[in-house]
Amino acid sequence: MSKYEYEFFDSTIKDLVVSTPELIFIQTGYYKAGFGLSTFDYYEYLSQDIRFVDLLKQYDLLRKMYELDILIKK
Amino acid sequence: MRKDLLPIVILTPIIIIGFFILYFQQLHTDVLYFLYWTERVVDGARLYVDIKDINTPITFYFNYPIILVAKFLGLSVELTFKVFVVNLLFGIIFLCKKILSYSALSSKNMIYILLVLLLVFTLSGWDFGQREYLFSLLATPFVMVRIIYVVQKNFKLPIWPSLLSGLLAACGVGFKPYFVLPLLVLEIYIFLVKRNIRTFFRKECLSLVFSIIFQIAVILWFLPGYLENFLIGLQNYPYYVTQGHLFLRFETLLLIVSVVIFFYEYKKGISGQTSRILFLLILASWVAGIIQTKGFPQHYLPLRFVSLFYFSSAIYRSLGSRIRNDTTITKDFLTSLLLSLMLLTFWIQETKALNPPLSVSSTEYKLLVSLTKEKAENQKIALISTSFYPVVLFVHDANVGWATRNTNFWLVPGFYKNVDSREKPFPYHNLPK
Repeated sequence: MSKYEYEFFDSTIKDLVVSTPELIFIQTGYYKAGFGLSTFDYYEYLSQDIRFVDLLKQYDLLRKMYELDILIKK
Repeated sequence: MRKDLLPIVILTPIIIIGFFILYFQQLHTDVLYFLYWTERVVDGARLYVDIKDINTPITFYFNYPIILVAKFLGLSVELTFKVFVVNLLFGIIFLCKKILSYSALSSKNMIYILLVLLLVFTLSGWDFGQREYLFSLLATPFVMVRIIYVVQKNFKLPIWPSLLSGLLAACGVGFKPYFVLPLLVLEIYIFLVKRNIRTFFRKECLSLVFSIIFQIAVILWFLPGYLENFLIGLQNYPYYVTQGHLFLRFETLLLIVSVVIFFYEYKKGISGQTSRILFLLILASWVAGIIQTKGFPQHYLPLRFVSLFYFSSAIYRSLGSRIRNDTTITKDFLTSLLLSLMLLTFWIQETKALNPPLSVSSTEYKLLVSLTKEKAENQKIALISTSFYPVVLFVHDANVGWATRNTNFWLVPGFYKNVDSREKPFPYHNLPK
């Protein structure tokens, strides 16, 4: 992972862990703006960091709508 | 009725309708994005440190007074932005009027030019206030000064409109470096016509160049973080895929018709310097849109503006020759074609303004806002997505705050596709079969 990508990645995880938002919207679906048609998966991408995996345990899936997973804090 | 009043009688009601639409229309997602990021800057966030972005400083600082005024008067940010830009538009029209008053044009012609400018910038559709809009608006007085300089011998303009036109054009270029291309083409053409190096040393040109240098110096001195942000963007943004076509689009039709008109006038020997310059600006604006490679409609907005102005000047000349009974069937056909194309362009733009692709009045948006309000009002949310929904407006409407400093993941496609194959930070994904 490049320095810039790691900074972006790490700061995102850090912010999520520190502020544990009430809702997390995660984009799903094969078509994603910027990616085009791709199986890129945000869960897989962010789960490379154990902190994100642990964070997800604090959330339930509230709803799936408009190619978004909406997670709510337990 | 006097024939010279006809343009006023026809165009004024259309312009008034344009202002009504402008009042009700939703601002472009990008405009909203910059407005609400600037709001965070006003609240103390550090640009390019707390807010990571590739866009130039003027993109944000242009909005700074708007946010201050909106906060002071308790108005909505969107409405304040619209009022601010409309005032800027009238300021530019006033400056153009001042510049034209030093030309040899008749007052009838001047009124027509000013009305067409007002028409084109008012009925700009969903792209109202976009960086391309602001560039086109701010560069107009400079282009006008340079055209008159070519057309009219011994053209002399007082110092303040000259300097101001250069300064405004430099501010326009500051929104995106690509915008320098049409101005560069214009200057090369003027140099070729005049064959005199002193053409570059006129007040408006010096003002343009020094204002651009000043902007660069300010960035290097006060905002060194911008360079790093710019480089990150430069490495990753080329990988950002869009659905926009570069060539198969409406603007290509405008380009083709411009080529037809230009060659028709050239063959008939009625193509003056103004037509040639406008035609060159159309070509240069088209290239500036193409080299951005994304095919976003706003990238072609300067082309649309110059084409509309080019068409309207051709129509005006054609109507003039009709009054003098100096018309042909071909000329009438081309005039009708241009008029239809202008109306179609305005129609497309305004329809999109009233039904934007990411409308806040859509069911999707309303459902997401109501759900978020119900579950997380006054709390924080995180959005992990590249989708450019008007998220900034969404946060306001749902009355929630951001949990992460990265609110849009537009860099991630670049990170993903620009990966060093030796490092492989995560496995590549194949397209579904």
